Amino acid sequence: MKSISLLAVLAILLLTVGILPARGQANFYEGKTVTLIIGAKGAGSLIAATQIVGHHLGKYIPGKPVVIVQEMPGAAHMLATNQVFNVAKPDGLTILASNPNVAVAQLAKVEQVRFDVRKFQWLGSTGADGVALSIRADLPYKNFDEIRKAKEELIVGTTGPGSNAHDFPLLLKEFTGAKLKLVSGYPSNGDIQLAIQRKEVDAWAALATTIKLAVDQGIVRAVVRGRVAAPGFESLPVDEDLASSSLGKALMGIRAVPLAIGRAFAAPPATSADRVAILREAFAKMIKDPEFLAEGKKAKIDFNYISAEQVLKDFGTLLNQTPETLKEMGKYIKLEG
Amino acid sequence: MFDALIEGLLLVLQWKAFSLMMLGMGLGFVVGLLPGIGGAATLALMLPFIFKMSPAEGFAFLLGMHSVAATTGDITSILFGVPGEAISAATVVDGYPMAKKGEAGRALGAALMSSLIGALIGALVLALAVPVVRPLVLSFGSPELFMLAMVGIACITSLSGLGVRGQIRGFAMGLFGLLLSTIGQERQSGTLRFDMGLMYLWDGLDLVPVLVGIFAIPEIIDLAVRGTAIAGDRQPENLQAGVIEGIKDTFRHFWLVVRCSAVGVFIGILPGAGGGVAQWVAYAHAVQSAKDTKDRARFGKGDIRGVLGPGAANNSKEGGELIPTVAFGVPGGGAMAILLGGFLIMGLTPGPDMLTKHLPITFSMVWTLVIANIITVLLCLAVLNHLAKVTYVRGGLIIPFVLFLVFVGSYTANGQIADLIVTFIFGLLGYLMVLFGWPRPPFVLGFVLGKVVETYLFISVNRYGFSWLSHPVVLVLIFLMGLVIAYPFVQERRSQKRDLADAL
Repeated sequence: MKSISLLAVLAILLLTVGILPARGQANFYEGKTVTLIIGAKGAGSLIAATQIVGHHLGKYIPGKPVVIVQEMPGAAHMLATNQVFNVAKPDGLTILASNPNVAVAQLAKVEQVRFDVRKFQWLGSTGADGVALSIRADLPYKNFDEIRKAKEELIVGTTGPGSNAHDFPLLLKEFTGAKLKLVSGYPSNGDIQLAIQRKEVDAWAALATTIKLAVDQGIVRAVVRGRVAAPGFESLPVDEDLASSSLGKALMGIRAVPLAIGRAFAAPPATSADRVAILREAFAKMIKDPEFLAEGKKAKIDFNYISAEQVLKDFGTLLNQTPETLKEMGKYIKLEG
Repeated sequence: MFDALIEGLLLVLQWKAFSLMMLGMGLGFVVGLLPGIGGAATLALMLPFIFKMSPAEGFAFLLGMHSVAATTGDITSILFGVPGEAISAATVVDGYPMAKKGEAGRALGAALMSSLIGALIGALVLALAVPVVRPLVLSFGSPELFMLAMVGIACITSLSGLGVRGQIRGFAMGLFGLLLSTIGQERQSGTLRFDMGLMYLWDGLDLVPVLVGIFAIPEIIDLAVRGTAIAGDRQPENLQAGVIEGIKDTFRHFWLVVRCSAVGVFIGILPGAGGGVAQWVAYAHAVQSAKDTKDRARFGKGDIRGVLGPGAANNSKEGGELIPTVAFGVPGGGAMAILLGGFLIMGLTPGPDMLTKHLPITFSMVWTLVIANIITVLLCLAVLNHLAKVTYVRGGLIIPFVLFLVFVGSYTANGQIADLIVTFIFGLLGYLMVLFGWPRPPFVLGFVLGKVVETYLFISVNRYGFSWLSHPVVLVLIFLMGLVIAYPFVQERRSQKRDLADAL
């Protein structure tokens, strides 16, 4: 009898020990607010995706906290990244909706970078996005080869150095022999699309999701893409295959990694392991939620789960470049504008 | 199209959409009144609530909130001299001096009525523009946008004081504004300019802390120094009579209100010009409407026309700004960019479809603008008496409250402490400008248009060489710019001649 009661006590103790942390975390998050910080404001697929995450993440965290989105624009997401890395309390209540392009700034040893992407507690990514170059639908060129052989340069509208709109065609021009002339400074992708419609520019590169919308409206035709194959663009030639030199391929590869990481989320580096585990689990469950996927579909965003390990591995690959590549990189890849 | 118009109205009048619009209006009312807290920041906060809404409901909610904030922003500008919204800063220039003269009721009546007329004209143009909107927007390329911004900059001559000294000061301030607009990352090459090693400055100075600082802080200091109520030691005016007088003023200067509304719509339609510009160009136009130099000298000291012009323009431009947002996905201003985010969430793609397949939704936006503005103005008129009484409350009681809101408002711009520092620095600058008689409006115009001018000049030259100078629209705009620059001088000369003739 004694041994039975002892066993019972032990069992209760074990159960309590097992359950308590989870209950403790449930209590922790109950009534709390989780803030998703994003380094941009206005419109855009990253902002829309973050809003959708904010709408659903809370229900998968024990204690069902309220999740809000806070915009902290500045310095191409670096302000927000610095903030979450250095200032935000590592209590599991602040999450960065990151733009993985900041890793390129880290690679380039930009003075203002006060973070190390490898030290963030990554929760995973809601999916990669590709990049594509498109040309005006009424132009006679049928494929990328014809653009190479074109008599006159095609005018590419861009937002400025460091952006997909600028760097993707710049590397194509430098390393594939495409006849392109870059006119930079357009305030946004919307403005470039408008310039395409009034025939001020001939070509435009952007995230595949954005280009796809314009293709569907009959405004442009996509002609070449980056490494990540977005739905509908799988059959397009890939920039890295067209590059004539190993440096070109390496630089295109660097640009491809942040796109492959996609819309990744992270907690501050010192966040405790149990809270990170809870957030990771919630994140993974959320991405399978049919309602979440339906909202993504409505906003024309494809959600795909990419694990935290994969995100970290990709950042590792990105930051592991030869000194020669790094030296040359500064000439072609600058900070995001 | 007529069917779509009716369908749009019915969409807004459905109980759910209508209730959401009223809810949005309630929020917009409060946000507009709070100094500096912009409609755009609030729209961003409200986005998560639209997930479960249909597009018509979502837009009724968001636009209801936004259009009301534009109207009630004028109230704060007039009562405290603090821009309630970045887009209602021009109302401060003549509205606040009126409040100081004990004419707050009249200024408020005029601002509200002109806002209503502006909003109605804006909505009407939006509805009528549907068939011609694409060719109209497409006819304005980078060179044309550059020249249009130059016409805006030319308005500095009207926003500056009279005489050579006044003009030099005005242009100096305009150039100073242009110079400060170059802070941050240059768009063409990505070079950082005047960033002082601060990441905060990479994107340039934000308009909200700059405007709030430059207009609000000097007025708060002035109020503290005077030690009286905003309206001085006057006995309270008969507010009801003042409000009615203000409404009558709107109809006395009806054509001015219509013209300024047209200015607002036109600037709103063109992507890139930005919402901050319309109010100043409209104000400049109101100044240009002065009969002679004596008449012109009344501006800045509490002239009702200086309230009517910007009041009408900042509401009419809402209709205008919706056009590029809806038809091309290019937001006309900060708030429209957030609205564009709303499009994505609700599964709509801005573009030609919004003018064909989704036309009823586009028209539901038009109706929201109309209905929300009518209800707001009627409600505001009912409570104006109580609002205007604030100007008779002792300054010592008002200052802490307004100062607190000013800094909260600035902080909402980017959520950074640096926003507060910028407000403080520009407050000091604004105080010095007032103290030494250097005009603030040209500075703001230069600051707002600087980036637009630089961007489109660079693109024009890079794309077209110098052949863009021969584009027909560019030529027309060059001519218009000449007129805008010359007009105050012609006016002054004519006035001198008349004085001479009178003396003889």
